[in-house]
Amino acid sequence: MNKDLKDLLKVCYGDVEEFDESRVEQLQQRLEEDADFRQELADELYFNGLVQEVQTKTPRWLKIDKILESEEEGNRLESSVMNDITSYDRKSSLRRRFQLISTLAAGLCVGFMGTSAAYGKNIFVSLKQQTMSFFESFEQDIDYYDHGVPIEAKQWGGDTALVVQAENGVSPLHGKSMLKMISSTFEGELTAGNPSNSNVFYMLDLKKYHLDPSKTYICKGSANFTNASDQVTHYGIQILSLPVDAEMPHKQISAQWLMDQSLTFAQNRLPFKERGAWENIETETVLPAESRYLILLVYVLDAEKSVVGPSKFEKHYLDKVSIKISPVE
Amino acid sequence: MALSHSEVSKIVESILAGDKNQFRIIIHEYELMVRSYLATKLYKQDQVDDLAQETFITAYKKLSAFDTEKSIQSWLFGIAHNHLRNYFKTTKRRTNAMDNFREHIFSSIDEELVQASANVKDEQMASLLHCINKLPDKLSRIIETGLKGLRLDTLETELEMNRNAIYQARYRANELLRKCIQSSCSEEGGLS
Repeated sequence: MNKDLKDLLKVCYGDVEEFDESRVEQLQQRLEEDADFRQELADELYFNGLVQEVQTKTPRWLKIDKILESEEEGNRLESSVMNDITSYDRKSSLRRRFQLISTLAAGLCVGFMGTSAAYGKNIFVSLKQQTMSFFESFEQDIDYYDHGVPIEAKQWGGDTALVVQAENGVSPLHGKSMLKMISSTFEGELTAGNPSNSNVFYMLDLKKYHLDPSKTYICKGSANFTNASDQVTHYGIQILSLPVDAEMPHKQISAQWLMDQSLTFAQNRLPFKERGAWENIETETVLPAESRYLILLVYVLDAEKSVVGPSKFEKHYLDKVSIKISPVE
Repeated sequence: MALSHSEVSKIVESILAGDKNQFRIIIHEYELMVRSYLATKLYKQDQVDDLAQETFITAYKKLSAFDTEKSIQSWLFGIAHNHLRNYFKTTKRRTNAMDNFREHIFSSIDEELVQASANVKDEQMASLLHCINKLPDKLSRIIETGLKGLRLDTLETELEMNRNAIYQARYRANELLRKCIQSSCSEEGGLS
């Protein structure tokens, strides 16, 4: 990097208190006369801005959302959930969610084994390529909804979890933070012998990404987990899609309801192999054209659970979660 | 450029015909560009976010005045630029020679900033996070911290590097990132 560029960058970042007048004149002259240099400076400044913004949580623009949503049809799921959430029956919901996992584990649903990149963060949509990519590494303070399935799109929610930095000898796989999965928060009865899960959900409203209804899309989900404890546990990932006309439950969103309403879903589950090591898991599925909502579920599961009561998870972490939706060529 | 003229024309036509929801396409395609443009001139993230939102609200309200034969990106940057100017007027700070010089620099490169944004393709943006993740630790730390504000003082101590070396390292990191995003779309480094 040449000195002129460096000095101008420093000025732009407020990192220079003073220059000699002659130096300022010299730099101004170069700016005026050297078009390539102006472009190089602009490229550098813009790229720095882009790198900053791409690492930043996508803002929730409530003002503009309000303007655009006033005539927007649909959003039945979100609004209905918002309306019904006050009467959310957590105990029953969690039991049903637990049953969902058990059902899936029993092999009633087809799983797609996959072998495939900040919290509430980046969603990239390319109309030209007709792809939508979501990446989460839990870098920012997030609105984590710890009462079950998230109440609106672009939100994380589920069982008790917390964004933490490096701890217990575990460093985040990406950036400075990761999600600590703490417990199943199950308060009811469990059938003896059944395992218990700590679930984390993310919901996307596909309508907002304008996918081409004439194309077939593949949805791939990927997540990374680590278990730094001695607990014998598994980790899993599921993708579900819900139709435009999903019939909303009157009182709650439960895992059972999700399963009943889902057009498609895929899952994968693996045992932790190495204590404290980050392990990747993936799954993928074809996304039916009539899909409106996409639900990603990532979870850890107590593989030795055989007594009544909630499962607590120690030193279990999640990081680098991604979803990619792309058309089948 | 994210959308072609004809795509933009079609979308604008739909919005003006009453399909407000189509404006989300404009937001999705240009939000990161607008935020990145604002971030070149603003220090605080909440300022960037607020002015970006105001930019899109103005764009939405004034959409009927947009000439679809022209670049929507330049138009959005123009709106963002006006919001910036108003913002600086209303938050009038004490200015010194360096502030004035800074303003002069930015006014000299406004067109080049538009070109700079066009130089980064949207599929490359999608790979950027992966590429950042691949950087060596020191460069990754510099990228995370950014070049703005007092955080650089901490970085000097933490990395045992002086200011000039940090700027040089940041420049090097950007070079690596550019190479990575250009190649990663067809490789493992892409968002896949």
